[in-house]
Amino acid sequence: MSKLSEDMSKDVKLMIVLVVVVIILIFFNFDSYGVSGEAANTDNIQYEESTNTLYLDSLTLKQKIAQMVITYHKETNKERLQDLFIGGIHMGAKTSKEEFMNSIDNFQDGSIIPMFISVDLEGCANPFENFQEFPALNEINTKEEAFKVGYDEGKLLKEMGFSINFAPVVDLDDKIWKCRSFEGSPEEISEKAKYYIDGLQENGIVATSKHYPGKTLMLWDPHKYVVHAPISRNDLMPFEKSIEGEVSAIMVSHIIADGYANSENKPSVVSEKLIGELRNKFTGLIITDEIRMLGLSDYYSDVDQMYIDLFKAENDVILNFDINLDNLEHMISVVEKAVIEGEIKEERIDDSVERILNAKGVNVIR
Amino acid sequence: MKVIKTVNIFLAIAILILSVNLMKPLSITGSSVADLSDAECYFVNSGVSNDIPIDGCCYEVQKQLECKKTSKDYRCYTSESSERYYVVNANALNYCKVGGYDVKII
Repeated sequence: MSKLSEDMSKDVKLMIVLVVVVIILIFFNFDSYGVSGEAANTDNIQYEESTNTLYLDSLTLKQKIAQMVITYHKETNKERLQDLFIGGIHMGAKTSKEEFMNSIDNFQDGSIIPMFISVDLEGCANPFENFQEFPALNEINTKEEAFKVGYDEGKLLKEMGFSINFAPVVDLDDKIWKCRSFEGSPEEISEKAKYYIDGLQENGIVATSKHYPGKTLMLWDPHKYVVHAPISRNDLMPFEKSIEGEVSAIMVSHIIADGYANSENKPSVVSEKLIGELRNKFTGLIITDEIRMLGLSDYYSDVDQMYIDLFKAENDVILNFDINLDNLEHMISVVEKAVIEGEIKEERIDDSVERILNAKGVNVIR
Repeated sequence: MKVIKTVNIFLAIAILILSVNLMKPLSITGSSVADLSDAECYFVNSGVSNDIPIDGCCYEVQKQLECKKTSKDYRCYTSESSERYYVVNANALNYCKVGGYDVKII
């Protein structure tokens, strides 16, 4: 009898321990997914349609962070993405113009603020190849031709409902794909890029000079993913000319830069110094290259720290094309926590969101 | 006593499930633990083939219309008739999938 009672007491003690562990795990599960009891909808957002004005303070911190993200998802996730208030969707190839337009309409339908709809239309590996051909940038010989290609692409993009083209590549050479950059001297490349950008932007499309600070398509070692590159004055020239020509966006790469642009031994995209210096001379959108590329992710042993550094470095738009929505939500929660704990200033998040909303044509009241 | 033992078994299962679930957001790092040995990716431009870094390859392959199995590898393209396309082997394709890239294989 006493043996039975002793066994029972052991089982009860074990049960208490197990219950405590379950409670702790439930807490951590909720915390890791950022489930803070806050309703995942956009009812709180104060937007006046008549004046096209959004009150920034009406957004939750999580919504502000989500607005800074462009992702790559299927329409089946549309509602969850809209509830998060995700900033934009990137699109890959489809079979027809109509398929693109239907998909874009579907993503925009029900969005309080239009999503950015982005694409990599660089001519080489053209996502519209099933219905429209464009020359690759290395096939463009004159500035007049560059303007016409930019204009024609911009016109089609606008008609289809796109808002951003992640082009042109203004690296001085493309030694990898061998078709993605303009050919010629730094001056000629800068000029063609400027005219191409003018053509796109005349149609209301956000053009993106990439990949700052240059040399991104010039160096690679199959055994090393974190790449170091010496940056010369010439590498920066096309970006400086793009800025003079009022390009709307610049995409920052993952290379570790030194020389005329110095990322202080970190990937450029997480360098507060490099991006800070770019910000001092550029008022448009600063966009990251896709953040799961090994050039960035191999630099970090802790992915959460990578997320924090990306937002801390004052990038405006983060490209995270992970098809796992839980990972995307996890990133947003990690950054939200870093802001709450004071590691990232909320004011800098607000600045980026204001730039994004302005680029979408929305007036912002802070 | 039997009831307590059964409850404990359920609690142990719950701990297991919750632990696995807690690790799920870490799957983003899957790409860095996936096997990169023998991953091959080429961009073919009008018959000329160029070796492409694997991470840039995954980003590009995700944006293709689809990837079709050939006798040896996979051909990924925006249009089946295109002269520009990617050729990736099974290791590369697997690496991209594990890394959370949307690869459309037909």
